[in-house]
Amino acid sequence: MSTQSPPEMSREEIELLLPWFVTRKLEPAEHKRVEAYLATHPDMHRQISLAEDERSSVTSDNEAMGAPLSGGLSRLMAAIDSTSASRQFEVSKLGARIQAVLVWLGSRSALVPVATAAAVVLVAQAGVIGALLWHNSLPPSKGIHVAADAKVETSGTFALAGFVPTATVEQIERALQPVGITLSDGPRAGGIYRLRLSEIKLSDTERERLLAALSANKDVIRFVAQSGP
Amino acid sequence: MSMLYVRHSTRVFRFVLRRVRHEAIAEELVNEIFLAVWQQAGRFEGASSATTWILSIAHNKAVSSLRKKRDDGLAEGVAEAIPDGADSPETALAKSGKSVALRRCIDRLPDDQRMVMDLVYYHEQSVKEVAEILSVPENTVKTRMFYARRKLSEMLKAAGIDRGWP
Repeated sequence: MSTQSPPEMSREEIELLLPWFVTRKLEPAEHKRVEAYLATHPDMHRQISLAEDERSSVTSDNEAMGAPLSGGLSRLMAAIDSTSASRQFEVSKLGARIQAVLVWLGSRSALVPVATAAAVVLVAQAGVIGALLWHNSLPPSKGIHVAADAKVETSGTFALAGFVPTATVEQIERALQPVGITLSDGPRAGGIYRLRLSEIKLSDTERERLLAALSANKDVIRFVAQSGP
Repeated sequence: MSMLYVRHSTRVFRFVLRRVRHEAIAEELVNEIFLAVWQQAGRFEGASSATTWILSIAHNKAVSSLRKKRDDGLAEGVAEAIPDGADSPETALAKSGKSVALRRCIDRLPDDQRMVMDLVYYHEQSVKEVAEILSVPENTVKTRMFYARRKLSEMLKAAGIDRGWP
């Protein structure tokens, strides 16, 4: 089998590529082909010179345009601080609502301190999830939902699950999101969470399929079991 | 973030100033662009260079700004507020010679051609990178650059300089 070199480029193709040849921004193979053409067509060197003049003029013209004012970085950092503070406020409002849910779930008794501690964890998680959603621009409907209302969801299909203590929020998100499962509420006593498998009542077969899919994530899911509404 | 700003802000400023032609607006846009860079950092997957990614954000912000001004009916007013103190290519040639005349001609290129020229020669972007920044096909980038160079030759010829091409 013989190795054939690519056909020589036409003059028109070379003319299209010359500006990038001058700035050395062609792919290596293309650069070599232009070089090969120039080696056999010395009249084209005049065009290289024209492109270099253009480059020099464009560069001089841009450099004469000045620079942003010196306070630009300070203004940017202030804007970033302001945006961060705004986001933290949103998370803390969410945290307050979560705490209200957990106080309610904790029967207003000895579980309250535990629930409060859990709320802190959830607030931190919500912050991380929020950051993930924000940075990755996932639609909110596809992220992990922490119950933020005092009303407990009753319609749909549910399960109870415990997460491996070392599981990260990102791992939990990766386990739940692809199969459309959301976090309904929790943690309850023993660190159990209630998951919403679907907004509608699923058949036994479909529910078992989802539970099996969850159980397969041994690094994330400690156990999973079906639950009533 | 500070390092990113220090490294790229001047070039980004010049890129958007060329489009919006108003220093205060360009300053504001630079702030918005780097805030967007900070907010969208998680989306950057390294498929293109950071420069290309930032310039694509800058391009979109500049386009939005121009569109908003057009909608507000201000674009004309802003354009009119920019003093046009530049000599014509003919006058520039008489005063300072070929290189100044070339700069004047480059200044007079249509915006879309001028932008490609800036991205290629000053920002040193490849065909693929310019295509990504402007969201146009690579062949469009090549032909836009070709027509810009041909237009330059025509303008210079009209000013008395024959480049011998095309």
